[in-house]
Amino acid sequence: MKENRIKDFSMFLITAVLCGLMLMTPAAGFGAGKTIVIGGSLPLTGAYAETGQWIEKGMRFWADEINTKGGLLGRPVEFKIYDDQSDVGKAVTFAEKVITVDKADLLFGGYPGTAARAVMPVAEKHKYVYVSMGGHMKSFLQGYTYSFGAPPLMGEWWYEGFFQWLATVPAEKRPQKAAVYTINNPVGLSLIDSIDRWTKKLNIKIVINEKYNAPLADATALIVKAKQSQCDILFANGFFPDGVTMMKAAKALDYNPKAIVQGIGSVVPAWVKELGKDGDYVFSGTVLSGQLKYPGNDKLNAYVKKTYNLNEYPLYFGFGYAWMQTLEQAVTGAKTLEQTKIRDWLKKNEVNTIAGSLTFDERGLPAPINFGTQLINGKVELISPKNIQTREPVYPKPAWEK
Amino acid sequence: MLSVENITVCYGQMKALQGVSLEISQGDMVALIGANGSGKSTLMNVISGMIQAVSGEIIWEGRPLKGLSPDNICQAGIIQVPEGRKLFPGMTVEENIIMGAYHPNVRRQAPESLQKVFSTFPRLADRRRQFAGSLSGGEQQMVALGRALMAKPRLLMLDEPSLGLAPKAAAEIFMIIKELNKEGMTILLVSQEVLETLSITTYGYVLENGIMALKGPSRELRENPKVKTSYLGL
Amino acid sequence: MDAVLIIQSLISGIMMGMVYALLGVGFSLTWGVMHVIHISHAAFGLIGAYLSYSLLQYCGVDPVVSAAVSVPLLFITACGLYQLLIRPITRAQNIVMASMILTFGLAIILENIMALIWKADPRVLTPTYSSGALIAGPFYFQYPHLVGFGLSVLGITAIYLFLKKTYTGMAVRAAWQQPEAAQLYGVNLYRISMITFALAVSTAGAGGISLALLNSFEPHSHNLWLIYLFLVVIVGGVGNVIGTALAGLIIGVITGLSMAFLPFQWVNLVTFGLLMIFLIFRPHGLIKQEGM
Repeated sequence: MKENRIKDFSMFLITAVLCGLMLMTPAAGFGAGKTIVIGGSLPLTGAYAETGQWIEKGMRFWADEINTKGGLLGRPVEFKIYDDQSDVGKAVTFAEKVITVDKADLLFGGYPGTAARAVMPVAEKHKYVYVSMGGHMKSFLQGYTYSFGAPPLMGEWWYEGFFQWLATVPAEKRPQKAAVYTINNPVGLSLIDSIDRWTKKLNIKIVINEKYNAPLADATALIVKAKQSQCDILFANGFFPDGVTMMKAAKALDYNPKAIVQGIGSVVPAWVKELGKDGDYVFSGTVLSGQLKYPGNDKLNAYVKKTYNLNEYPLYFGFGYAWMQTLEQAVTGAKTLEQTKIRDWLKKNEVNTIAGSLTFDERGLPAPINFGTQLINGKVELISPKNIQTREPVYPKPAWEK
Repeated sequence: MLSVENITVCYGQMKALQGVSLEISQGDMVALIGANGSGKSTLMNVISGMIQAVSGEIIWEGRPLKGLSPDNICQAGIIQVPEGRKLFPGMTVEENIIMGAYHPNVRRQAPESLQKVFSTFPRLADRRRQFAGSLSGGEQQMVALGRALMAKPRLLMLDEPSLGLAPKAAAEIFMIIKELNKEGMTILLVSQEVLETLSITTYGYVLENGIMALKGPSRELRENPKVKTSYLGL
Repeated sequence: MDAVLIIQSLISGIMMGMVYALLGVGFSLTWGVMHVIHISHAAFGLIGAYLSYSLLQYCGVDPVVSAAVSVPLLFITACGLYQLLIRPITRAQNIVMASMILTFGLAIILENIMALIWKADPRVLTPTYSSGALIAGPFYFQYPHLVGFGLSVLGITAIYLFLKKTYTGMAVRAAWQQPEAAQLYGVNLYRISMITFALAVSTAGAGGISLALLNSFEPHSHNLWLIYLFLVVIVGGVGNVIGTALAGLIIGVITGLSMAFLPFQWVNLVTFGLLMIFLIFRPHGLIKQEGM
């Protein structure tokens, strides 16, 4: 009886010691220092799940890469990613939590623009550097000093590339009348900015300028109106669901303007996959592309080819990666995890990302970046500016194939 | 044909029925009388399977009914016309009546049964497309009776069929009930119209606070001093 | 504003409205008959949409044909689900609350399952006729919209006839108007509830297919669809098939007219504003009459 108890106790002791050893081992193994925790939230479920998941993949690709290279400041990096379920309120809560409760070393950028815009003041309040795409121009005009768009997603710049190309088209071949349909939210409305500026410059008359609320259940009436008014260029400033509804109606009604310009609906890989040939020839813009010749793009393309069998990395995979590139270079440059020093370094120095070299102004923005794109044979081709052009655009748009 | 043996029913702590027994034989018309809340409707609902008894047995044609669900008891041929008629208000007169033939056993005969109901109650035939809720009380009771007849009952239990009806309509309903019994229908009749009820039934039971206080041939009950003072106001 | 555009907007609105009605009719029935507010109703609609998407993509089966497969499949699934989940809660004190909480959870589970199987990216149902339109004078009827509309009219008519003309259908109405009497005449309430629930879920499937013919969808789309369910059911009157269909038409007409006469951005505002006004004057919906 007594013997048994002693035996039990010794077993317990051995187990306890073993457990203790196991707990200590990793810390001992890292030697140089403990893990750098990079925290934040992404929409991994809900409305923006598709995009959020691609951002996460891009970030994790960066982390694997840097950890095999020996880490950041010689320390391994690790993400603490919360799922904000595509809810802006939750994104803000998680940002607060990451900073105050988890005491993460660094903050990563969120999605979509509405969430990024809401997290920016949180980052400012706690003096944390926040590298994200931002929430369009307005969010960068609030006087925040810790927020950087590197690269930013700027609706106000979105059609710059397209219009620069259109300006090279002889005036008599340009469209005359524009129909502009815009989703009634900050992203959609930010797209109108460059349309206003450029249509004036190119003498294109805006005949229809209407906003709609999501969901857009049917676009038949919209297309009929554009067709009746003989608009020969259609701006569909929206997201995927309404963009698809618009395209399907345009085809069904055999509406053939010289050009169809899409907001950000056609950026999602599902556009090509689901619409097939009908998704072709839409013009749009981009900030990033695997076809750019900046260093790193080939590496990313090779990775997505191998892992996801994609010919080119998706836009948001690139964003996730590029934001981390910026943060990495700032931390390495400042040689510290002190947020204010990282910020000051970023304000003064240049970073080299897959979107090119970026320097930041007072607002935290680089010089306007935008590339005009066109979907040709299911592939996003860069059409503007001329020096990066991968293909001559197809214009005017061929009639629908029935 | 039906024998209820020693049934006890509890609503929480309260005993609604206490050791109640009752007998009905083929072709009989039996009265169940008693004051409000004496347990008449409860007894009917126990027989119909709507309420489960704590103890006691119900034997129907030699088989115990205990534990069967209301639809099974309906299939066995025991049909109740509930108090307040409980018609389907959003259905037409015809639909209400047809619902009586819901059970697969009687469904095939539904067209003939419907003809028969309409010939018994010609007034309903004229109103077959009206919503049941729009009829007068007497007519509604006819619909309820018609619905019950569609189910080809072998025991018809009527709970307060004349309640809330004008005297003329009530008399009409009692006429019909008497007629049905004459044609061979076994009937258990619950009513507060004690005199009327005891004059058309052969045997009667008196419930008082959940206990079977009296029983006997209807004619004798009518002469019983206790019944006279308590229920006939004499 | 010219007449062509007004009529075109009305056509669009009415087609949409009928699709919402089909999606909503089952929701209305489970609510009315069983007092179960089935929050995952639209999620089942979405499953119908995904099933027809996969059948079209991998087997080339037309959505209308695949409805003949997925609708019975959903019926059987729903029967099992009723036994497993819904029947136990019908004993709850407050069925409405209990059912809402339970089916809200179910909706989240279904959404995650859909995201797992079909991924989070949006899908578009593109049958061969998806790019055409019937042209009647100056008016356009997009074929997929016509098919979705047709499927909806068919579905609602079928439900109506089922409730009106069959014994089981009548039992569904009876069970809901007067459950006690229904039991006394041989209606097994559990069985009828199961049938009602399963029928509702399968009409949701058909409605989901119809809606998928009009719009793209993603695993979380059911949250949006749910709003339209509430809209048609509240306007039409809970449990009322004809009311639901009428509500679909009315909502369609309102949407269509506001599309034609107002800036597009006001459409939702006007629709929901009118709904609120409507509820103040007719809190029971269009048709108060219990029944059909």
